[in-house]
Amino acid sequence: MGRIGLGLIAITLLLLLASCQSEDQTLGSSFVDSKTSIVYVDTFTVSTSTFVHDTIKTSNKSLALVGKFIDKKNIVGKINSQSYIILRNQVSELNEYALYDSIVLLLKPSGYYYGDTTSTYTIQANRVTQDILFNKNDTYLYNNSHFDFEPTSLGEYSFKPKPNKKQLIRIKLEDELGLDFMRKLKSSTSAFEELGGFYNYFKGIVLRCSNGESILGYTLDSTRISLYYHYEGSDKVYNVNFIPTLPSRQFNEITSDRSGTIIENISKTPIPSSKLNNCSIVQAGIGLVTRIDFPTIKNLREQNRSFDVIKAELVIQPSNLMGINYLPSSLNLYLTNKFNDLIGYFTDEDGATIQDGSLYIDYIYRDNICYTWEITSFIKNQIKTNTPYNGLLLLPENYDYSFDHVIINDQKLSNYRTYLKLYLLYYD
Amino acid sequence: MTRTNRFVLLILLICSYSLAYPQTSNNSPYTYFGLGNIETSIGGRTSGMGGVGIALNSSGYINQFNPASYRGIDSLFFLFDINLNGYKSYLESKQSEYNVVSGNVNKIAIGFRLSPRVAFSAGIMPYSSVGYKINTTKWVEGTTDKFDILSTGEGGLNKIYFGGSYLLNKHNSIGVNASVLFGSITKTEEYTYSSLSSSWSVTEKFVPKSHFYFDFGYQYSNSINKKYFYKVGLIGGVKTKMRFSKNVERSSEATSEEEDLSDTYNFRIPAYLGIGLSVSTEKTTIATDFTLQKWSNVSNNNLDLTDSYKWATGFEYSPNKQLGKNIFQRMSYQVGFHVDKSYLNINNVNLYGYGITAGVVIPIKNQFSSICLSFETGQKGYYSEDLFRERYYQFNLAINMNDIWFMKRKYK
Repeated sequence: MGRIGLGLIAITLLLLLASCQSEDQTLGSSFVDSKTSIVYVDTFTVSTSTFVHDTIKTSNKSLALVGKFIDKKNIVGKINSQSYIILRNQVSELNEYALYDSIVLLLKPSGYYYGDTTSTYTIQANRVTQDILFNKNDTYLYNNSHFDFEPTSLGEYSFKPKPNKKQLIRIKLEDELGLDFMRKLKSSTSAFEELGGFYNYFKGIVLRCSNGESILGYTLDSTRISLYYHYEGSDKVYNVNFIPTLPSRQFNEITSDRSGTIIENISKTPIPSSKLNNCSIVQAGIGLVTRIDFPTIKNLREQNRSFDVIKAELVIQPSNLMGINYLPSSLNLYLTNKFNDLIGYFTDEDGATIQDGSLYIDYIYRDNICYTWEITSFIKNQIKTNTPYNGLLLLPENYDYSFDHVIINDQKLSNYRTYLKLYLLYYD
Repeated sequence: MTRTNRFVLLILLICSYSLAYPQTSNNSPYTYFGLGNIETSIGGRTSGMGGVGIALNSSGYINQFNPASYRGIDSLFFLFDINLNGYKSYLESKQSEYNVVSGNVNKIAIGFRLSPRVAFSAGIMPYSSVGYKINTTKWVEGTTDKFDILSTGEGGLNKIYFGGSYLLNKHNSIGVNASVLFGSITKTEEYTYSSLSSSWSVTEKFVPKSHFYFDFGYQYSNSINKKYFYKVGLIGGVKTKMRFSKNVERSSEATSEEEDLSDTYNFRIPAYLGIGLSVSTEKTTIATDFTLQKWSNVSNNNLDLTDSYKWATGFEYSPNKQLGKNIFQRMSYQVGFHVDKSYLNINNVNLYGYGITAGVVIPIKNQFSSICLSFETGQKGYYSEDLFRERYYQFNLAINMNDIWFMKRKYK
């Protein structure tokens, strides 16, 4: 009996070990009658509208954006950008025998440019006459913030922009200012000794473009005002520098002139594409935002079928009015609510990575140029829940320190190349 | 071996049974349908005789085919049967082929006489098994693309039965088995849409709800003269609705969202009737069974079902059971065959099968207990483009242990 028992267990184990199945699994494939199906649909409405988000935070970017942009097709109009910089003194006193030579503003191009750089560009610096301060309970300055400055410039300089060369630009300023600074530094009771003494006296400069068709960027790190001097009987030239300070209050004031364009009357209230020649527009800097809604997506609920969204992809076709070279390489999506607030970056499924709708360029068939985003989780939420985040906003990357714009064809105009690609899994 | 030890062994075996069974079932894509492969042969002492039993007695072993046969259990004995089998099959269609190997302990039963007229038996044995893995594809509607479906099924249903027989008079006995199902069947579909690099799955788990169903049996035995004995047996069951709880779980890899949907599932088992006849002499037994089940009377979730039958015939020869000089003379030798038709009708094709069997019964331990070794080969299914033929080889080992419990007690 005991031996039989052991034998039984041994045989059982042996048989268990021998159990297996080989890999060929196509036998019986005609039996499988799966209720599950995957359906591809691209007929849901994608509606686009345009509004202006007029408060773009432009402070603390360490980048001065100065210039003008003129849209030759006159769709988005003209842009003017000027930059406010607060300076401080590096030394607080000067030998009383020092003799004044000159005062110069030095600017280092960042390499950023937008617009037509073939035409002459004139930059000028004006003295700010108002304290550059935040609004109460705020720590930002915006594209529509403004501070007064003297109408006559301290100095100006014209040149043919070569932004890629990043050559230092020197603007000679009024000697009157240089002599004034010198006097103040030599004075035994220099007001510049105290912290903030200098910028209480000299509130800052505003860099403006008086003539030009491009907007150039200047890095704040290398920007300075240099005061040159020498001593009697010596050829040696010395200088003291006034360098940018309080970076959080450095900002770019960006204004636009949309008169005569289709978006002349654009406001905070979105205008549907049907009223804008079947277009919508995004533009960085001045905050033209395209809002995207999927008004019919909730109809999926009414089917009374059990389903899941496998993948939802938003495809948007830029207008062929745009030159290919002007198209930014990516456009960002943001979540929004019914008040068109910018809630936050639209993220990937993993919730971490920001989704850049990368640009696909088809050089042969230009109709196929498009931006694409995966918006699966957003669409799932739209269908299944009553989320307050009921739309998407489209903005260029770095919308707070660049000027890219894209004109987007709506579904009608794009011949349905602006659309929502939806892969649905039906369980029954 | 003491009784305690025997119980420990019994429990161990039951454990190994329940662990082993769901993993190693009959791996055939035909088990995709319904409850899978509903067992018609249950191994045991007569597996070498084509699996007959409706008109055979439970003498020295437990014959579950007919509960009325328990009356044959000797009043002095406690019977303990274990069955093991090993299975290898070659599956082939016009498109492809593969082979399957499996094996396990598939039956444990006990039996004893309660009174001169009443005998009792209980045990565990397989009811049906599911084991398949099928790859297929389906069109993504609205595209020229396809997605993959991997359909897998595993598990099986076992039954615990409690049976009794009642001897009406010298010739007639009746019996009943009350069975309850346990175990589970898990069917999973995994969907992979490679061009979106995403996958999902739906898992359905069927667990039978506890309720009894009954099999009835009747046997008549008599002798033609002093040399020839015969038995007639009848078995049957009524239409039964098997209730299952169905648990559905949907999950997707990307979002790890899981959704639980629970439901019930009913599977209807139609009435069946079996008739058997056996004739035996001192040295030989010949028996034949025919069982018919009216699957065409029930409908089960759009499954195409057809009436199933099984015809089995077997012959046993024992040179000299009692007084044989050597083991070969005391052994019994068996041959048999069976022909059957499956309850499945797939694409309007009925699936027939046959098997031929041979076996030996080796007496052990003072000839009350025995080991039955049998071998079966056969085929089932249908060879075509869509369907396939299964050629199988099966090895069966039945151990029938008898212990004189009650006699011991008497002499204490």
